[in-house]
Amino acid sequence: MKKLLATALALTVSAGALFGLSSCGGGGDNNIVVWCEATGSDKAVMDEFVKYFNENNDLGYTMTYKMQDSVSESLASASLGGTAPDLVIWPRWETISKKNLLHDLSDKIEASETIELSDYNEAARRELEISGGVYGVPTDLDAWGLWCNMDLVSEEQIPATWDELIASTEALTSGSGNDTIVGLDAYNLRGQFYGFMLSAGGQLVDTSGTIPKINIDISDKSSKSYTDAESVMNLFIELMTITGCPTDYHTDDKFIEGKVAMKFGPSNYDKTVETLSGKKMNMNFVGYPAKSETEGAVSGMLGGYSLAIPKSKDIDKGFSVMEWWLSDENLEKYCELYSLLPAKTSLQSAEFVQNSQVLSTMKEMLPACDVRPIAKGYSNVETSWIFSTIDSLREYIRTGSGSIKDAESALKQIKEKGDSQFQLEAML
Amino acid sequence: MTNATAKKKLTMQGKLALKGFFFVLPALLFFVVFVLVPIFMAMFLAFTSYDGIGEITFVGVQNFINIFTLDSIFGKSFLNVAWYALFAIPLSVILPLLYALLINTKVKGNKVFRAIYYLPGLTSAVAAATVFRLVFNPDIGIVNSFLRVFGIEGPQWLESSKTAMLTIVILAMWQGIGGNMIIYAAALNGISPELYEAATIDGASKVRMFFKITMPLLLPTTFFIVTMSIIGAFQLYDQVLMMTDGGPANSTVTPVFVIYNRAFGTNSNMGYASAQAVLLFLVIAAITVLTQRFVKDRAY
Repeated sequence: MKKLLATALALTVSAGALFGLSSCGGGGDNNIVVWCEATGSDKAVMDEFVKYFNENNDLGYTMTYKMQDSVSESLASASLGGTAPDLVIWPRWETISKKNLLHDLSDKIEASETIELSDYNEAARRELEISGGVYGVPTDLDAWGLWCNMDLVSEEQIPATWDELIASTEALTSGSGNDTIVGLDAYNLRGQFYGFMLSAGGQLVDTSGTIPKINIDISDKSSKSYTDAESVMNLFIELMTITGCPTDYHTDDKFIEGKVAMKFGPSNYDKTVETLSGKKMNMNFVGYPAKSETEGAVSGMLGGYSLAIPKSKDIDKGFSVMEWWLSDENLEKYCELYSLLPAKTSLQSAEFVQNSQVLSTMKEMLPACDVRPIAKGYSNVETSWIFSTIDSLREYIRTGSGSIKDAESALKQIKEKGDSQFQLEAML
Repeated sequence: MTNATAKKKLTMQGKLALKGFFFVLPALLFFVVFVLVPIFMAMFLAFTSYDGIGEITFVGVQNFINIFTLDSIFGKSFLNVAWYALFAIPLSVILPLLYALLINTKVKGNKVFRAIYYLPGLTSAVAAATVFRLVFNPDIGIVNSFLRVFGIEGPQWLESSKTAMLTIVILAMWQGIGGNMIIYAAALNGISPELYEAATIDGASKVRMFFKITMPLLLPTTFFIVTMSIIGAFQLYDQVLMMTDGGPANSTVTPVFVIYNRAFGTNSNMGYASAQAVLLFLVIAAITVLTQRFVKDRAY
């Protein structure tokens, strides 16, 4: 009797496991599973778009989606385990390191009557065209810029140049302790080094050689590359000194509470704020201020996503959905729901773009914007050495201690360690 | 015993052994599949370049050469762990021992205290780390607010590269003391009371008894706790991820943190990450062997 019970239990558990695993990953013949890299605030958007797809597609498919903290991280193990989705909303900047996870769509795109790559933003396309292959098609453009809380910032205080940024930050910083209001979230400047190099008219990474290098010539302090970087670092030092970088003032909570007047963020940050706070804030979006009225330009760093098909899945099935998604009508619907600028140039004059202060601002500054450096392992270089160097500077400003005390020592570390890291990344 | 009887006995013993083997088989299979096989796979992958999905390319010892010549972050992670261990290991011994001595005294409610001291060990590392971030906020956290009452300006805790790792030590101690305390309490109960009686008769003071009887007899336990603490230090990950994400300024990156990011993050390479893991294993093994040699003659 005991043996019978034990055998029955084992069979039940096995059956349950098989049943559970069978529902993972890609859908059946009529199902399309999409993975997206989204936060909770995007859930409502995806719900609506998936509903729109299911009601309006003539492909006979039913779409479901799953949110991932990191699509690229999850896709690798899912591909090995046979549970990859049919289609991914893919972070473009990951393509250079993770193209092996995706189908090369060159032949399909060439044969397609719906998708014409030249219709799409050139910078966004560059992120997806690696070593002669095309690993996705861009859907949207997400330019990072400066968000101003207009309940704290007047129209005249919105900065267009670095000097104005310093002046506004100083004027808007007040109080102490729990009553502190900072003019700018200077903590997050560590993620804006590249963006400010663009606004200075410079380039952070030299990708012309076999191995990318940090484009700062520390042996020649009069060179343009050095002076550009030095001016950005000195700007950061000044901004951090003015605000004092109080702890946790980089969080969304502090911005919503009205403790931070200006903050760098993506172009759909207002939607994030609305989801978190439950109400619309009075916010204005502008690009990174130009270095001066005569130098550099108001610009931004371009992020954004694309549609891509995991290599372990059926390319035809995924591509048919891509063609549907990227038609003018449907891509416009998607971008309108997400409040993102379409990557398709012809859709950038759509009504929802013109009616949006954020998107129309983004459209104006597009010519001066660029994507992250397309260099293998750039994210690791940025995280390990640019962020950490600026962290050290911030610590020096707050406490007076640390080995990175000024722009010179900061740039030296970024250059030396960054180049070494690039070398390692290239060898992997 | 006749041959027939001996044969029968062997067959019975054989049957018993076979039954025992089948009972052990599921656990053995689990160990082989989920522990041994991955270890050997990692050792193999350490000599390859493999992004987890493409082809496996044999690269010989190039991964190890790159670790020593180009990967300063991995080297920094070992320095960070050494800094962590400098504080964590003595505290992992002293504090649990003190608590164990306290709960072993015959006072009312000592069982309640035993439960209270052990409770932190049951909390989720992620939840505890999230709460500790707030507690150690240098501007509005409880700790610095309390210190300000006495006119003391507290340190920057997680915001400073000098104190970030110490903050993680505090969290690790808060969570880990309970478990080590239970181990010490059990060891203390294992010491024969006759030894203390004899020492009392000889006129030894409590302090002398502690250092001449208790401490020497607890040495095997102490050695075990030190060894486990060293291994735990090198495996530090959850608290780092939740509290500091390796910052500020790489002051809290740990070997496992670096290995995980290399295996699954941007520009992932399982082969290189496996080489880092093999190196980590060798370092832990070397330190464990050295510790064992140091204590062996004294403990056993």
